[in-house]
Amino acid sequence: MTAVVAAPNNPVAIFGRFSPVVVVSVLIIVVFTTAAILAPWIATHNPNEPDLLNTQSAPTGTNWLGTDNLGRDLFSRMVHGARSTIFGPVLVITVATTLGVSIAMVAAWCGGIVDQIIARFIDVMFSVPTIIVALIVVMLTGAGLTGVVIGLSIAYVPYYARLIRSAAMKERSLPYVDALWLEGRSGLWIVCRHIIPNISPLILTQSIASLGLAIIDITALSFLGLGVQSPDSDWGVMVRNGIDGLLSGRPYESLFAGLAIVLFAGSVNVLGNHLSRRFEV
Amino acid sequence: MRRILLRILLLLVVLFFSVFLVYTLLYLAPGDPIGALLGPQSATPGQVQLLREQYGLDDPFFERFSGWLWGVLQGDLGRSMVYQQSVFNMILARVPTTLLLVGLSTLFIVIIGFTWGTRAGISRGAWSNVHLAISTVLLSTPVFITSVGLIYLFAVVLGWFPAFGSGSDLITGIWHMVLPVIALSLPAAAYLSRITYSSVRGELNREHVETAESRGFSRGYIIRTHVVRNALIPMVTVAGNSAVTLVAGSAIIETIFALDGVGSLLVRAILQSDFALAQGILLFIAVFIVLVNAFVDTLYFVLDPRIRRAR
Amino acid sequence: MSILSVRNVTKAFSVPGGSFTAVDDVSFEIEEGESVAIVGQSGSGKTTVARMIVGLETPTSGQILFRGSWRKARGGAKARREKARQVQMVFQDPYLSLDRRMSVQAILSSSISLFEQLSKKDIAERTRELLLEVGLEEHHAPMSPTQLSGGQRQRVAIARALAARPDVLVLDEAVSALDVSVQAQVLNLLSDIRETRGTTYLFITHDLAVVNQICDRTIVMAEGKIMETGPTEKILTDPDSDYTRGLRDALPRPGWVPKRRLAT
Repeated sequence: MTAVVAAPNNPVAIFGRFSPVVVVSVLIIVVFTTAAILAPWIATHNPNEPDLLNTQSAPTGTNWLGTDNLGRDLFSRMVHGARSTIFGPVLVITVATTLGVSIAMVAAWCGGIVDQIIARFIDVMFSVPTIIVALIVVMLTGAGLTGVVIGLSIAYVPYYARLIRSAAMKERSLPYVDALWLEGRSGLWIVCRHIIPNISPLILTQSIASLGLAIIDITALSFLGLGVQSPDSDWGVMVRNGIDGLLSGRPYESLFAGLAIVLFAGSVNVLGNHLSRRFEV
Repeated sequence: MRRILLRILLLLVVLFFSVFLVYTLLYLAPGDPIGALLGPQSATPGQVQLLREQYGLDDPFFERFSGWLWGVLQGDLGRSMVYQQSVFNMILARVPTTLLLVGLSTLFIVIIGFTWGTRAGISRGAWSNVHLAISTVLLSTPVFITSVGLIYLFAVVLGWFPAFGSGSDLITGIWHMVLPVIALSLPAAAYLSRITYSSVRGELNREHVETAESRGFSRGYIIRTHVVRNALIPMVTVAGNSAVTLVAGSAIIETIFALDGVGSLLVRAILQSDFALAQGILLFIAVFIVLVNAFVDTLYFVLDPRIRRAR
Repeated sequence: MSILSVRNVTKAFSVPGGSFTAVDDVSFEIEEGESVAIVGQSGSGKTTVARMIVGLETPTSGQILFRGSWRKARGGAKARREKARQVQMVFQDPYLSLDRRMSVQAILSSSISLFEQLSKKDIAERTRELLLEVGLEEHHAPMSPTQLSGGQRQRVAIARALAARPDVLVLDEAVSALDVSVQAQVLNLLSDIRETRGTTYLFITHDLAVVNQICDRTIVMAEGKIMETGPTEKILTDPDSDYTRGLRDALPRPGWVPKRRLAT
């Protein structure tokens, strides 16, 4: 047999061929994320230092994107704000995935009454809008990024748990699981070493799809003043902060921050759609 | 009949649990209500103790809960610690604004989403691609950004609509509502149009439509009677879900457009740690969600003969 | 002493609005080195009997004994490992009974390492031996099950079951998902294994052609009960019950031609 079988770890075999739109989206994600990681080295100014003689400036050679109502450099604030705007949602998704997958596995593996209780509970959680869950948690913890991240993490759990539970139930009913059980493998081993790896494409796809939502939710909460607190920046905070300028005909802060959110969330969504088509979930 | 009673009973149980959950969460909330009550004034330990007794803060949990629940049933949600007003009256005063916002938005969503989705579903070719592109952009744009964009374009640049406030009477009230309603509706309308689009597409490929077509019924007639009718079911689900998300979205929209509604009140209550007020609003929202879900269930029952027979 | 005794075993499943008795007071014995078939149509309870014997289901009442000692259905990983040394199972669908993400090598060596304390090198050697024993070759080792044919996969599944060196092998419709020519090859392989290892076989099947080829004794089941039991040849040529006759005539297969047709 001379035909070359695609190795399972070949990226094209896993992720499929990228269309131009997907390539652009991945580029945007990579560039924004790199900027967030390298923020201190990329920023041209101290993001929190006001310059009251140079407020509401339009983009210039020194202030590439202009300045805000306190004269702070918008480019530097954008780059620093990228950190909480990007890594906040990543943290939310990581926590929500871990919790959601654990709950789903307990439900799918134990079955019976345990599964029934978890399923009902998920249904009830599901009917409450994520923002409301997040608001309740923020009220308990006080405004700030921590509360928002905890709140959204909890709010996203039912989305994962519901989807992963049904996939795990299907996987658990396959005879290879029976075979492993008969050999004397423990339930924990089978779940962690076989069931989770086998549904990992679904978990990955769901995570990326929810990442798009998390970016929108986290910036919305920051916009409302419940997330990242002044003087730190965040793209949602910047859209809010720029409204004054916008009303007087200088829309730069809201415009750039809003554009960044839409571009980033949109790119993540495009990638998520591509992956879900790829894995047919 | 027994099934209907059972459903109502289940509804009450769900309601009770949501009420209980809301109460417990805020019972557990950190922070000192007396401190919030006193504000900057100082008080002797004796006065603090008097206040604690007056508000029943030292009673056991279940006693406080049942007292609170009894009050709730009589329309007494307690007093806002920050505003020193009855929570019930505060909410009641702001309900019309929120209802108008959510009601107009639902109407807008259904009309736009449905006509747009059907239109794109029936036509072949370019229309459906345009539909896909626009709805993708709208779906990944957060409402607060749409709002800010609308304010800039229509209030600042063009000056057609006011940017903030509620208006003084019904006419100016609706006038003030135009931008908020559009901002709140667009993502949900885009979503509904997607659903309508795919269910219309699915229905068009079904046998009974082909049969009707081969019998010589006009396309318009077929679409009105078969396709749209069968596409109604998924639409009801979406509309029900939207109504719930709209209430959550109204918290954002009302804050941006400075509308005096329940949503902006909730955000303010949370920012100011006004627990009694927040509790009252969350309770209000919980009741709303449960009722909408019940309503949607009933609507399924009316619309789909299969479900009707199964029950 | 019989190697396997099934004594008054009943299994009821709860279903919406009551319970359904899948297996109803079934008793039989299997002797060391025998090859026994349980035949019956779908819903006859034969698969449930097999799943209770290996320990995937708990009998509602009754006992299953291995060399006279009770095989309790429940138990931790260690207890299950001990029971796997007594009885192992080969499943019907070779496409679903192997983890699709693992290589053949990984599947077999992970099973071997469960039952034998061996060095890495010895495990690799045992894996090679098992592969050769079931008629596969070394170049199959790094492949994923998805790259193998149905027959090859079933050979891997048999090798995996043999890793425990079980005394009894339960084969649940183990060849019915395969093409007829491949079926014959796999059955030949099973005959060879039986000769070299002396393994006792319990075939669960609806296919009388399979029974004819490899089983000494046949148990016929219907609606959860045993209809009749006897030497395979007698069951096939001169069954006592009408049910068995119907089963025999309803399922003509190549390799086994009903006598009535020959007469015409």
